[in-house]
Amino acid sequence: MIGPWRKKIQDERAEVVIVGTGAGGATAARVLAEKGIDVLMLEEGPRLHTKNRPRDIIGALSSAMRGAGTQTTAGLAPMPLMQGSCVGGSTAINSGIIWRLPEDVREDWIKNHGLAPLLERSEMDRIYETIEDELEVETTGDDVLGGNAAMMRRASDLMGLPGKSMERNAGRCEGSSQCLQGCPNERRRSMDVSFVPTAQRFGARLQTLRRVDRLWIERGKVVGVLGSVMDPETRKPEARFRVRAEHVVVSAGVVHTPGILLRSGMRGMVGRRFQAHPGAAIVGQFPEPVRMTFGATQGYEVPLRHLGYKLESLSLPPELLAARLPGVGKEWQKRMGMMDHYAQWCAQVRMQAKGRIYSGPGGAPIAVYEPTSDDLRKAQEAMVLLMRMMFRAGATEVYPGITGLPEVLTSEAMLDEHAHRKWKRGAIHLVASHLFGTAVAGHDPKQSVVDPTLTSHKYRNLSVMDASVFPTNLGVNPQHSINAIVWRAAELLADVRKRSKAA
Amino acid sequence: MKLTSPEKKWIQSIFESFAPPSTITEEGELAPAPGEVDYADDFAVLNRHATPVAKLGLRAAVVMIATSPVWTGRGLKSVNGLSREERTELLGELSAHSNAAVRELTWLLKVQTGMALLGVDDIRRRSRYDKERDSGTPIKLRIKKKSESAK
Repeated sequence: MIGPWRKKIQDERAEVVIVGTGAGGATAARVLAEKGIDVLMLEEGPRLHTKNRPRDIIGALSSAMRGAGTQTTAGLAPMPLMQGSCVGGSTAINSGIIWRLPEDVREDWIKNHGLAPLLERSEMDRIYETIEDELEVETTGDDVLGGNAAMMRRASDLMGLPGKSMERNAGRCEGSSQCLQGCPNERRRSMDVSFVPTAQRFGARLQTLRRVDRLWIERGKVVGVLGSVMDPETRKPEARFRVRAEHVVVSAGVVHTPGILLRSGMRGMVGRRFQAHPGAAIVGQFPEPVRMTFGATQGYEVPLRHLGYKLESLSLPPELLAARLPGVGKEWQKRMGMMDHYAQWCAQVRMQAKGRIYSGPGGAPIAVYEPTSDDLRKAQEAMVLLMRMMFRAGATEVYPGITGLPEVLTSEAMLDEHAHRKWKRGAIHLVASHLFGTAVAGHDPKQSVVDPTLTSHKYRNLSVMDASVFPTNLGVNPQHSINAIVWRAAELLADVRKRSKAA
Repeated sequence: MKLTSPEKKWIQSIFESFAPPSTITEEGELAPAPGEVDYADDFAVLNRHATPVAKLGLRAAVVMIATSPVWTGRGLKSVNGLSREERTELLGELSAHSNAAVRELTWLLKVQTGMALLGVDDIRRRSRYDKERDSGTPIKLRIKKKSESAK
């Protein structure tokens, strides 16, 4: 992970250096730059301009996702951890689903983790409204819902479930169904087309292909960051750089933020309390065309937080859909010949398991995470419900993709035969895209890494501003909560810097 | 690490056996024309960008399937020593194997096959995935925010 030191060192200076340009880093940059602070944003990945983003899935994964989407947890049943690795971070590959921080979570964080300074209700409301306005948050309209989401709505209505069209940061969505590859019309206001350029307009600087390896620490004080300049083609280190800064904000995401802190010698709670919303998807074949090619990539959801999960429509590009269709040879080819007849829905489970990020060979972070038996029970319950919904909506074939179940289910009665048997851990192909913890915030330095203003307990000129600071998972999509909490923390940091300058 | 020549041949024959190419296809069946997909090239691209663990998994999957005729009792030969029909039958067997690692590694290559196959524009068109767009059926696009339309 720590690249070979070659060539000349490139030196930079900034008042505040921000590591990462995802939901956390871009928001911090946008707020601090507006307050007149000299900000330098560092991004490990490239800046992908909309016109140049590859539309084929291999090109899209290779250019925008960490490890081309192959990053996983360690263990015998590895779970893919989907994270963006380009300007905008994971917001450049997600579906822009917007949920405010649930009130029960807010109360828990105030009561049990001392985060009152960050989560004062009127301040949060003010910030939510500003963000929702700037990111064009709106409810997905019927005209861009698309067949996949509409089919899920049909099932939800028939079964009396509390489904609804999603709120997304894509108010002018045209239904291109290409959120993963990058919205071709920039309707989804991911950070690369919203807060990053806004921060730049306020004077912030952006350097891409700069991987921060560790904090630069002198005489027990953080004085900046040290890292590698990455080759744009190979993404391997080709030179080194260092940035001297008065304050460092680490926003490298839940896996790589603790990686940087661990490589810098920080211990204690760093890397601990790693949590997620792992999920899995079900595909169904319908007699009428569904047409995932059109509509919001994700447009409809059935939130069932009280049961510990949330169901979502999730349109897939054909390259990924193909692998979810059963069979090989002629059988597979026949199913692939009717690609417009499939729907895919997924479940996101609010799991209670807590994993950990370790520092592996060469300092590369290793994620260890295993769902509990109760987590697996919830995942099974959610997926059985999804399959039932598929049949109620009229599916003629449902593909569970679960070991031990038939590859193809053709009726609800057939589902019932298998629904009650307990599924094993390795039977479900879980994927985690919502990650939390690993540098949690709290008032107790023994139980947390940063304080309630997201400033490090150990180094007072170091902040962590991303979902790493979340003490628990949420049960809803996290982007908006990251945006809002970081916004507030950046305002508090700007006040501190203003006071220190005045002094 | 670059793919070796035997690996490239294995990749091409394994991937082609998931979805055999054909000049004549039955109604509604998606089959690539012979030589239409360069599986080894697409494999190399993904392999280049994958994490070290994933790279290992991808290479292990190719070697495992390539040598599977030996440990599935088909004789002392690699997959290239089987006919295409035999290879497809073998892949079906490995996809439903009792050993989870065998199943998962086989599925990993099926994922790769799907990505390479549907990554070819003409094959994607034939899959009917984009039928609505291709047919020229006008799709109503929302070009204004709802709040703007309401004004």
